[in-house]
Amino acid sequence: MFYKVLVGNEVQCQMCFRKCIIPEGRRGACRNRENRKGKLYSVVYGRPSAVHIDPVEKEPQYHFLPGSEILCIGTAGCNFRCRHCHNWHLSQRSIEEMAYVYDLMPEKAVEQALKNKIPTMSFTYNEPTSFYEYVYDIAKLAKEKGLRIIWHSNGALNPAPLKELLKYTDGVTIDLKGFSQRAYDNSSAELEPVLRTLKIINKEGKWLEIVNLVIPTINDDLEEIRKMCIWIKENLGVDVPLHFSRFFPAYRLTQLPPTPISTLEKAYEIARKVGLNYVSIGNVPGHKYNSTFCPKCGKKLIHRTHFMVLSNDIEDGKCRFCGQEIPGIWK
Amino acid sequence: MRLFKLASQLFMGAILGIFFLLPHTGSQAGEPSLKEAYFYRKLGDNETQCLMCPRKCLIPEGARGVCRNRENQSGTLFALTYGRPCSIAVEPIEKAPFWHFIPGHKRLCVATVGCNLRCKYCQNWHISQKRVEEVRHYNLSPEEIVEIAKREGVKSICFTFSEPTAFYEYMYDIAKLAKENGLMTSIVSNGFINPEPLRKLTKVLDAVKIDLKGFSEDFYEEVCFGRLEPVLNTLRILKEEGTWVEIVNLIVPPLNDDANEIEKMCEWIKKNLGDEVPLHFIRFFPNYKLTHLPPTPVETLEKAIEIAQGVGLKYVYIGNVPGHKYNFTYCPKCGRCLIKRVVFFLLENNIVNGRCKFCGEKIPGFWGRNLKKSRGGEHAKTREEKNLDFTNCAHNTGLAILAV
Repeated sequence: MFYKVLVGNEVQCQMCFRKCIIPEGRRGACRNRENRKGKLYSVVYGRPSAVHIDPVEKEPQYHFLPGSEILCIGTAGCNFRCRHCHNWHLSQRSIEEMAYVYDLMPEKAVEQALKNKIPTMSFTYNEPTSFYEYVYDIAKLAKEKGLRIIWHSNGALNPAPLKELLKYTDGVTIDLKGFSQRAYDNSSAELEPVLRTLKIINKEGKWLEIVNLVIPTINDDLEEIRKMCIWIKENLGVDVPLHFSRFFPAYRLTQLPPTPISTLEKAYEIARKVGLNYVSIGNVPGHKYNSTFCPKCGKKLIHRTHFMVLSNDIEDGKCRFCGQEIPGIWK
Repeated sequence: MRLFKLASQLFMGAILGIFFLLPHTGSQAGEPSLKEAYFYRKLGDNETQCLMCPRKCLIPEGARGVCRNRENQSGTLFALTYGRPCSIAVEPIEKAPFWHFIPGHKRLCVATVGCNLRCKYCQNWHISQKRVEEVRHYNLSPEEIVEIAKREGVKSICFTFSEPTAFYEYMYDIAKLAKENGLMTSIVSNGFINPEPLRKLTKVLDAVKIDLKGFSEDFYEEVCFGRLEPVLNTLRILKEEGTWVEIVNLIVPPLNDDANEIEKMCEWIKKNLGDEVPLHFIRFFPNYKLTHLPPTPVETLEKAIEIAQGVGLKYVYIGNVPGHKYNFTYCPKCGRCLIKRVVFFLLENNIVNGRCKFCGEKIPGFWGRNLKKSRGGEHAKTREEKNLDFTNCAHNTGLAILAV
């Protein structure tokens, strides 16, 4: 889906911001879309390399059926080149290099979710944009069967495919990898298309949560974080949950230390001060801000330790203590 | 008018791939060794990211960028066309078109294959949309190019025909050497280049002609498979760096001839670059993948001129319409004709010391030294005279030089 044919069997992929021009026999930057005689094919369709059942908190989605399970699907490939990628053995490889490739056509995948009574299907681990056709077909089918659909993305896809997929989407988690082009250089990517995506998801009224992995020296400038929070407030509103996630050395950034917790706490303070209502700290199991607090009365609403929900005091989408309405998908 | 391309004198041996290009028999230089590309980064796993143009291609081992010129071999990016020009010609500067850049002088044009855009109307697709293996080429080092330029007595070297960004390393090295040897340099480019390589390049360039192919992202997207914004950014940077710029807008009805769009473009130019930037509206002729479209009606071009003048641009021209009165340069103050051209040929030049001969108005551009009154179709008599006085070049037009 989403490509143009040029001259001499060359094609231009229209899926993500890169708009790769792909000559015959080659693949795009995502390693998943291959030009065969002037037609662009997805080589990972129906061939996931990771299929797991996770808690929805792991996505992370903190305002989406807390404590429920999601059926997660990932394949090989990604259109980014994040030097900190912790799923690089999936995302930075082509399908031929995968240790496991399952044969799971959309019907079977949906069947699995239904059989295991899992309410939500999720596309995560690697970049869903890179296996869009597979995501799209599953999402469409799953919606017909009453399942919910969420996905976790770097957000650098183009408006047309995004809008098409949002029709069959309930919630989206977007990695905002920083708030400067410099931070995005670390991913060999661009910031602008991601901001565009965030605005579109928000405008289409789909549930959105944002993850910002704070990496020392790459994107931990507090002024930059403040700017990001202000941008979120002005463009998406104060009710979009923002997760500051801790970085651990991985892939090509093993020389960096893990993010100091104090940095994450500073970021938390900044975001709250800017006025964002739902800010949390991730990848620090047991931290106070794994939990969700009521922005009005300040009481703890959802008590989490890492991915586990210990208590939930949201009733009918409202704070049980003060009645404040909490946005999200609660049932 | 078709561009002059030179055929190699020498028989090109069988091409067996990049590593096995056979040297021209009897060639003095043989195949040059591969040149490592400028402006790219290594990502690990032998993958590279080219940083030359806004596409920022991710290039895995064994593959090339969109321009077809930059190849990743074992994790190193190489500029395949370095030292391998496919076109070399001596032409009048008016053909670029540069109409405020020492009128009438001869330039040495240099091009290799390759381009980072895919314009459906490309006039030079037989080199721009080809790989180095598909087109015959010379083997000429930057030193040899500069030697040829000196031998031919040209005043400048111009990188044109295909996209110079696609052969940046070769262009840059030649331009640098040319400047050291007292030659002037110019490029004809689509402007689809990143700021860093552009700024570096401006240090060795005197003049830049940018194709502003339209003024909507849609047009760039649909017809050129590129983007407008980076081109505008290039123009802003050139202005900042003080490089002489002329702009060409090829009008292709019905794709980019909307009067509102042209007006917006002119206003943008005036606001961001000033009212003294020459703007050339060029007539489209059916070509490449747009052979079903008719040539641009001359009235459309004249309407564009009216719009541009209405906005307040001082130097607007019509190109690809031989003999049209807007082939001429007029003084914005007194309105008199300053430079008479027919197509690419200079007939008369009334700019003296960079000013209108009649009213003294300063005319922006490079006007060179000792520009004498036009001498019509008369030959320059001696080599020395030819070198110094470029008021007449009609007889040298398109004369292929040669001798590898």
